[in-house]
Amino acid sequence: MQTRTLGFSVARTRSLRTAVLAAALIFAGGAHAASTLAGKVVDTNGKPLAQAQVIYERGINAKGASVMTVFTTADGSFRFPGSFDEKIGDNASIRVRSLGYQQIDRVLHNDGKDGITATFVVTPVDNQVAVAPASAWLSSRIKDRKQQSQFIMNCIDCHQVPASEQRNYAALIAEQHAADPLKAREHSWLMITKYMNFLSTWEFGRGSRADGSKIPVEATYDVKNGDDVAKVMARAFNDRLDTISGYKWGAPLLVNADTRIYEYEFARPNAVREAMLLGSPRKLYVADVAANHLFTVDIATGVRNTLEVPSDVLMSPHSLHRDKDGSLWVTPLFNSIVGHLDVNSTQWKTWRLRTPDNKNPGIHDLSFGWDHTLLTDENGRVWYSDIGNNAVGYFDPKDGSAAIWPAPASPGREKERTALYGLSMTKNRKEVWYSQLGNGTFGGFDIDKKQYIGPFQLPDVNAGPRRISIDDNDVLYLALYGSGQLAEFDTKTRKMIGVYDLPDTASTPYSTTWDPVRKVVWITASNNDVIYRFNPKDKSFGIIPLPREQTFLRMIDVDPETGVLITSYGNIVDISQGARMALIVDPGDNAYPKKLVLDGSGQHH
Amino acid sequence: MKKLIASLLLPLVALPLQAAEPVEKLMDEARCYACHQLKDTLIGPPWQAIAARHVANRKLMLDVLARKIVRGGGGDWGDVPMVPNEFTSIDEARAMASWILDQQPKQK
Repeated sequence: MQTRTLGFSVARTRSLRTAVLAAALIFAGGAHAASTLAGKVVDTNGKPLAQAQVIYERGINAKGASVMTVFTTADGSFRFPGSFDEKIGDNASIRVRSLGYQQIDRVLHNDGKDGITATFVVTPVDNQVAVAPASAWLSSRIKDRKQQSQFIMNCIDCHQVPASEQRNYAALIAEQHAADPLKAREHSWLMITKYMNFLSTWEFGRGSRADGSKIPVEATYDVKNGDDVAKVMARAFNDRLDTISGYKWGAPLLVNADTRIYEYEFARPNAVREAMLLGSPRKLYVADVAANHLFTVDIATGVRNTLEVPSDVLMSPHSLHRDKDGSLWVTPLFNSIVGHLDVNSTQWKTWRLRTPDNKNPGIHDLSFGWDHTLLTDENGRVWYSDIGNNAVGYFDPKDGSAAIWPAPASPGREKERTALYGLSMTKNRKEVWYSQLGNGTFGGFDIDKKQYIGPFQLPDVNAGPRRISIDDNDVLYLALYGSGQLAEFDTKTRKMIGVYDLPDTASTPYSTTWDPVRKVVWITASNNDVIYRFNPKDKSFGIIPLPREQTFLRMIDVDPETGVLITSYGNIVDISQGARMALIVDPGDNAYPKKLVLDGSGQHH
Repeated sequence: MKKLIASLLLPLVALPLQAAEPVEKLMDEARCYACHQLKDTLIGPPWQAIAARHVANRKLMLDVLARKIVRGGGGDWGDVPMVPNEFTSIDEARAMASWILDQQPKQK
């Protein structure tokens, strides 16, 4: 096991940090008082703007979070917690962001003791392009729900659509002035799907490609449904895509004066995938699927390290799972290696799984229980979803033995696209429940009888159930990526309680997590830059908007001590645009007995 | 203190002395091969064709091509615009453009 800090050994890093700090004091001519930051957001008539984001972008080397975001109250006021080590001057990147508004002025006032008061002036705008998420274009351009879910399942595996990258490309196409613009657009979008298929092959071939070997390019161009996708895009994205109006979040914003978003950025190149908060004091553990390591971040100081997975082949950490003892389980993108990390000692243990009939399980999820920690069966065996063999299976950490059971066919639904994806275990540890991406199906597996339960079909074959969770009454919550819905299913009675449209059906919900204290479900949406909260009591949704676009959200976890939410922007292709960040979101509802407050001075309250 | 300042400055001094990445590795990392090959047309024109068209105007086209690599654009070779490569620096793009302009077909 090796611990490194982005090219430096730990010992050298400490000495370097000491040197840098000392030098900073020398060049600054001495320490300055810590800065505080508060203020108000008003429109041009002085009317306060409530629930607006105030975003302070501090940079990747900041002490604490790279970017901190707070929200305004009903009277337009805001306050960042604690203090910042850095001096906040006119060059500081602090801005206001709110759907349907544009910032037109900012005045910073320093009280002489580095107490900064900021006044922002905003004005309403029709063009919401600066804030509206990709889903706003998708839902307004492809209105037929079946066509929309099919398009999502074809196109939104790796990135948002149409995010600013595609919108910029649409603008390039619109400026071509071709003799037959529709044909030219179809041709251009088809070429882009081929290009992206090459990127996908490049990315997902890392695990088996030798260093320096070339990819047979034209073989990667075979895009299933490529012509159909290009035709849809040529008609739906037929202009510069630089204006949008009338988009609404569709549910109340859950934010208040205590809501805080702490974003931690990672230097490129990387392909940040999932994140989790572990250890004491708490650190972020972040999977990088482009390499064989995790990033760790001291959330108070912002100091980053890397933790190499001890594997002689590229396993590419993908899914993260918290154990009840606070340790971390890691499953791979590429092969059958499962890793376990004791976060206190940083000792790894790994298993390379193989079934008695020599199959290599393609593990996606380990069995989450109702509290979103790993739950084993009564014999201590860890269960997993096997995306490669469309199966559920177990492995025994004591001896590494493994077995899988291929899932039954879903009647009338094509088998070739089917992949067993999410997994949860019932509270009595006798059943695991799974979702199947690609055929709109889910089901259960009786661990004692080794028999499948179901399968159960969702109405839309392109519903696209992904990461699932289970509550303390064994109710299953499935994020339906393709159809933009949430399914609520009672595993005890085997009955569907309901399938609910999300406030934005082009939001592509990726994961659900049951929050056992708040008694709600948190849902990450990949295509519209928000976190949803679902309340099973009244079937209502609420929204926490995130402070940027291209937040291709992945799994979400709830810190069991403080109730903060942890998730990540998982733009998986390492050259794609979109932030590389893990984030901590405090909803500001004080629902948990302990509170996590981070400021910009390295303090952890 | 001199040692301290020297140790801080050392990485800055050392940077320009680091060997540049081989151009072909840069082009692989930027996924140029997704659309271009030496002799054959894929999504975009072959590098030999670009070189043949522009090598006579090499000095000017170094900058023009470098900017096109970073910013993308279209209209020169057909209906399909080139995707931008925003994570390629302008210096890296100039190195790539220089390599492309060296690829003109050899006279028989």
